[in-house]
Amino acid sequence: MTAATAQPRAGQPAVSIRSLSKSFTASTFLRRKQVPALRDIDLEMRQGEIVALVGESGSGKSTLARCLAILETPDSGEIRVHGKKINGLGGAAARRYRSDVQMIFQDPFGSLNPTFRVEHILQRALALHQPKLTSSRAEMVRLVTTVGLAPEVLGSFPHELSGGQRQRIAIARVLAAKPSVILADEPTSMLDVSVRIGVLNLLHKLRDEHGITILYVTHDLASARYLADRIAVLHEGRIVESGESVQLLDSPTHPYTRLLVGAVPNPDRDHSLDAQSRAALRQQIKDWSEGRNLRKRVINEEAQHWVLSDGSGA
Amino acid sequence: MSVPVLEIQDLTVEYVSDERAVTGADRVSFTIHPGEIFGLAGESGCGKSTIANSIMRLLKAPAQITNGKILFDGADVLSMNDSSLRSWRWNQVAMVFQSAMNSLNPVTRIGEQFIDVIRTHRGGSRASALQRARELLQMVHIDPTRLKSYPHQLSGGQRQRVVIAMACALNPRLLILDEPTTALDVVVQQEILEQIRELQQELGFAILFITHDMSLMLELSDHIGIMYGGRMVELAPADTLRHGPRHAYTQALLNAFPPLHGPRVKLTGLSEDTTFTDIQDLELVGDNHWVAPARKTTSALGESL
Ligand SMILES: Nc1ncnc2c1ncn2[C@@H]1O[C@H](COP(=O)(O)OP(=O)(O)OP(=O)(O)O)[C@@H](O)[C@H]1O
Ligand SMILES: Nc1ncnc2c1ncn2[C@@H]1O[C@H](COP(=O)(O)OP(=O)(O)OP(=O)(O)O)[C@@H](O)[C@H]1O
Ligand SMILES: [Mg+2]
Ligand SMILES: [Mg+2]
Repeated sequence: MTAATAQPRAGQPAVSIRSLSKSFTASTFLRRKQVPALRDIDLEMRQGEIVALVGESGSGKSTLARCLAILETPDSGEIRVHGKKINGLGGAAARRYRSDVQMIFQDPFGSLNPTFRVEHILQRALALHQPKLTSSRAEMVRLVTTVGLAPEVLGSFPHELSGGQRQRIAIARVLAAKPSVILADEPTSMLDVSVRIGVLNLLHKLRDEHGITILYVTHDLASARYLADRIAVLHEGRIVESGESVQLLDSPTHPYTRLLVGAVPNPDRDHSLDAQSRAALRQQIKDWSEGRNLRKRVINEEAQHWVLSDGSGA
Repeated sequence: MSVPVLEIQDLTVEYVSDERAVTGADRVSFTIHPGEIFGLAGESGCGKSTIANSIMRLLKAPAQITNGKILFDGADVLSMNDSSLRSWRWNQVAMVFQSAMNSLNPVTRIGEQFIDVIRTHRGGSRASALQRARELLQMVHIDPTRLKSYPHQLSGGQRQRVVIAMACALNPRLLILDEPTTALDVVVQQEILEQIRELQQELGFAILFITHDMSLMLELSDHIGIMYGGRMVELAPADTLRHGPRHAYTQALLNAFPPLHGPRVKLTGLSEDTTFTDIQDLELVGDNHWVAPARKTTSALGESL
């Protein structure tokens, strides 16, 4: 673990987000309006915890990850990583932060320079993040082995590798920075289905063996349940429900979560929703989100399962 | 058993350029019966769209069909001339292309596009074509007033539904859907698939459904073919495939989708450096269940976790 930010301390959350909001200005033909992308987000992640952020396209998942990676500046709210505020971090402090909190992107094709061999790509990452290293060759071998590839891969160019192998190299490069937090934004959605699970297993292993905290951004509920300890469901920029993964999917409570769960392809055709129940859920979603007094209602204390609902009526 | 709508026999398609020849499909055979939903699955690049485009006779250079036969209601598709092809397409078989939501003409109102398709292929008056267009939009649960809209005024899911409705305009006997929902949210995807199923029950056409998503495939199809590297490696009724996949590649595909309920168990999928070579012809291994023997190799680049 680097001392990039503060040292992780026992009991202290690795990531702590409080009342985070962010909006974008959308210029339409006639006027400019503010589009809220994140609204009053609270989220805590323990060191070594995997949290999945799920929601439909445009719900704000990437924006949240990008705020954490200081690629985006929030309008208000606070983010702490290992207890230290990251708002307004700049210069050398920002560089140190970025090596401790690394992002993995969706596209393993675009993120590796095609003119360099894997060796060179990793070499550069090591020179940047671990300048004092004496034997970078040994370290590179260790890195590619960690991501499940053989040392021979070091001599290859990115285009000679499959999508899954490339994503593994992108992950090896991230590991060269010895991060304590990884933000993985749809890391498998561009990969072939048959190899996706391998990349998820790799992320899981990184958490188990290196204690890395992982934010897994996805729109795929089943993979979120497979990988993450906890799931946070994002709808129109708000976390509307969150809880331990298995518990949350066994008793989804917010109508939006229920709509998502009911839409997952299901060969048994047993909990599929019909058009009528979907329409009813949509109406409920509308009613719930328009509630005047939205607050977290705890459903299962032990599983940290709560839902955002109107506290005034019920 | 009924006469098949579609019969593909030993179809080989090559993409030939100066430097090299890529085999897009390699001696592929399968059959679709009237009213049946046939699913074609396999990883990216395995040849699914190549097959679909061959059936439609839409392959363009450098693609060449170098072997095999395509029979539609017993008639030889590969020997049809241009004018019979024109009346055969849309009337008998219609296709919704991969990325279909961008296939509408952006500067023409939806209604005009319907009228155009219907009158070109079946003739009749404007008024009757418009009436048909209204019915079709209603079938996919879009308000017929939307016929006045331009494509950009509809959401991606609505556009996709318009394209599917248009493909059904002339009651084809076979509808080809090439990844009709990949760009969509799960909720919209579910709605579209439901409508496809409804339309299929109402109009009774057969469907060739192409996807790489096995859970989707199993949910929708009656019969499934799995392709790998241009070859058909397993062919079986959906239930048989689901409960007893025999080819290692099919097993890997099925093992790549974590469940939403039940215990969390570790899945393996397919390791990235595993390849199958020497894929033989399909052999009958059970009731209607065909599997192609192949050699499984693991390269030196490392193993999956
Ligand atoms: N740079 C930007 N300028 C204007 N609006 C933006 C910008 N980035 C994001 N948005 C808007 O903010 C909202 C949230 O976008 P975000 O990319 O976080 O969604 P997402 O959940 O990651 O979606 P997807 O699953 O499609 O990646 C959307 O309405 C989007 O249009
Ligand atoms: N125009 C072309 N020129 C050369 N090769 C091509 C061409 N079109 C396809 N191919 C090759 O033919 C093979 C099969 O391609 P095809 O598009 O049929 O795959 P697919 O199964 O539809 O994949 P996807 O799931 O990505 O759509 C691939 O190896 C592809 O690279
Ligand atoms: Mg995103
Ligand atoms: Mg294709």
